[in-house]
Amino acid sequence: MTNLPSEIRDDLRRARRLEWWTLFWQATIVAVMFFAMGSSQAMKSAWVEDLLGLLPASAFLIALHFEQKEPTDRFRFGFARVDSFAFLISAAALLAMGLYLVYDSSMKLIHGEHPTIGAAPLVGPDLWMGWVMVGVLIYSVVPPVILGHLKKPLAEKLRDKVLYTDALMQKADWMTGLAGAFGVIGVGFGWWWADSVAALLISLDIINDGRKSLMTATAELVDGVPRKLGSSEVASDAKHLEEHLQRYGAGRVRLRECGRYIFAEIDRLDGAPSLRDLWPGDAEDSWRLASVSTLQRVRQTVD
Amino acid sequence: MVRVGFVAGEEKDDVTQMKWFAEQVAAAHRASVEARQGTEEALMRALEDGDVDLVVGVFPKASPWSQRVALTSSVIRQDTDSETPVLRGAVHRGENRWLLGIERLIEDGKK
Repeated sequence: MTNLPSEIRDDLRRARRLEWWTLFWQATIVAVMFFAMGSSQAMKSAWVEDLLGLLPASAFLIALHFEQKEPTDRFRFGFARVDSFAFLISAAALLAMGLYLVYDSSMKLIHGEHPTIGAAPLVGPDLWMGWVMVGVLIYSVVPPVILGHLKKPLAEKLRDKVLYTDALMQKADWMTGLAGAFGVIGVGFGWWWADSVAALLISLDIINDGRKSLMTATAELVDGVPRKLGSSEVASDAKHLEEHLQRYGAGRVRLRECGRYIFAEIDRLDGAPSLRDLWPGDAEDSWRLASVSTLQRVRQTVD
Repeated sequence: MVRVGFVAGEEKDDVTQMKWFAEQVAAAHRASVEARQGTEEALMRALEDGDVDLVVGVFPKASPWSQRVALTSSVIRQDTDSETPVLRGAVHRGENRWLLGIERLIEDGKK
């Protein structure tokens, strides 16, 4: 991690470890679900969602791998923006999961699908397969609750939107897992509609998170002003930075975000301040300001 | 009263076992059998419409009907593969308690 700010290296290592754990636990969940799903449509949906849940963690690890690379002849600005791209992929996965859940649950309700859950294979009619499914679904809920809980504060500290989206994905995973378990128990009581209704309600929350993340990811890729985590509002550190740069006679300030870093373009700079001087907030967060460039425009085609 | 549909045209031995199976199911629920005969398609449709409670016939586990009705396991012997037609019952999808009750009966009969 030599090409990364020293202030965040330990946290990044921790985040990387958490994402490897996520892949491990998620893979076990996907495998166990595959064997337990039988012909249950509710379990199949939960399985598809768990597969989708692998995307943000993988995107984070790939992006972090590139972020550490030095600029090359063919990529002279370095690879900080790979993180923005990974964020877009994660946000799209989250939104896709929400939309899939709406489609799937609505279809089940429209067709009045009555799920059939019989005896557990190998054990026989002494064990209702529904109980096996509930056990598997509860197992699928535990790792996302713990990992998501650990990731969120780390994502805020690292200003890491991929990690933050992954924490949201874990929230979506455990919520759909619980809805599935509720649904299977509901089927036991004869309420065939229970899991579809629960999944529909939960999907609204997932779609909202996915929509906000996708908007922020898009804004980041079109060089929008840095946004707060999980919101389309301008980040408060970016606002303070803009004001602070004016103390150095910056003139027109343009801020954009590449992954976790802020890049600033200004007209001029009085004196010879260091990057740390130009950062208005806590010194330990000054790594966030990656570059300040003064521009001499030859010709401007876009204003 | 358990409304049972027997698939017509099965072998004589199978017909005897089909009747015996239906009577076992009815007896377990302290009911009698109200029987009808018909083609597989007509009886499965009647099952979907709720006009019969149980269809008894010789079907493979991977029957195309398995997407639309719930098939029980093999009544007489263990299921070996999903392609071989064996004597089994079919119930309405989602009738999980009814299905599990019949499965218990089949399991007890094999012991």
